[in-house]
Amino acid sequence: MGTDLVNFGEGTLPYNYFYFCFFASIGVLQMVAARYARGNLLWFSPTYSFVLGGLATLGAFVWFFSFKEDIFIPGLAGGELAIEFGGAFLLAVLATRVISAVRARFQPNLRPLPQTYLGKILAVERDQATDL
Amino acid sequence: MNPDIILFHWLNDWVGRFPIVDWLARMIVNDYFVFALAALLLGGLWFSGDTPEERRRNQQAVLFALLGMLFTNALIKDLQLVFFRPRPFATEPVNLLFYRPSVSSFPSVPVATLSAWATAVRLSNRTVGNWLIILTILFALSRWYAGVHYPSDLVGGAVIGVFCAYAPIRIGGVFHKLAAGAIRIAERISLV
Repeated sequence: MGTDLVNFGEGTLPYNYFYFCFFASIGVLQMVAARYARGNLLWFSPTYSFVLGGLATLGAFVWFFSFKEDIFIPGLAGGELAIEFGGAFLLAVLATRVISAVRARFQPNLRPLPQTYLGKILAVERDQATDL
Repeated sequence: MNPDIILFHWLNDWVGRFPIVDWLARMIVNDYFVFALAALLLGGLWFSGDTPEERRRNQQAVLFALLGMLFTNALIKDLQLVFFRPRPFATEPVNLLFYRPSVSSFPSVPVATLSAWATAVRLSNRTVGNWLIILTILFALSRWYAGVHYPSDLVGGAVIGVFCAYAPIRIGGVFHKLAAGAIRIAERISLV
């Protein structure tokens, strides 16, 4: 599977890595959407989205790193890793947008992330060092 | 004796004494864990920001991180055409925790790439940049501990990565225009 420039090799590793990147990206997108109140990315209320997003990311890591026999042998190289991650991330963004649009039709108004407990925990220090 | 080799053995000789540290090093040293985590941070950063200005600044940082990665890899590919350093396990008695990579030991390509990402992001977003620096340091230490690189390979990689990310940001001009154009395209196709 591949060309002269990229070689995804044989076996299930390339597929597993793609699934891992896809579900981890979905999780991160939900967490970011919850933290920054991005209505066009949210699937559920911000609190649920943050918790489920965190679980999806954690679950993806635990699942992928249980394939020890594939991970500690020569496998995908830099180019293949970048292509797989990029493709999985773009697909995750597309899926997030589509599901969020469907959710918005049925539930247009979502309560923001509570600022009392979870919101404070998630508050990120965003002091900008220098402008680019 | 070469101080690089002395330093290499100073850390690598600890392998086998603490199984939990060996397990942690194997989790970090592989080709997937740290890179996936760092790439997810970049992906999350692209959509982060309370205001449109902040989001645009974060998106610019992500684009400069990717540009830095491109320059880093191009420079190292060229360097490796004229210079090859054998891996530690090829010349030394080594406690190896990883498979035997075949490319030149100097400079470390993954450390250079992570350093480029961390530099570009740190100049714009201190919090995410600091996390990327921590990941880079952990990854570099695990490569040293696992017997895959000499310490100078890691320092060399980090210097190249920092330079390749910092130069386009400071040069500005065409690179800033490229980033602005890429963000405009992303906005048009609803990727922001």
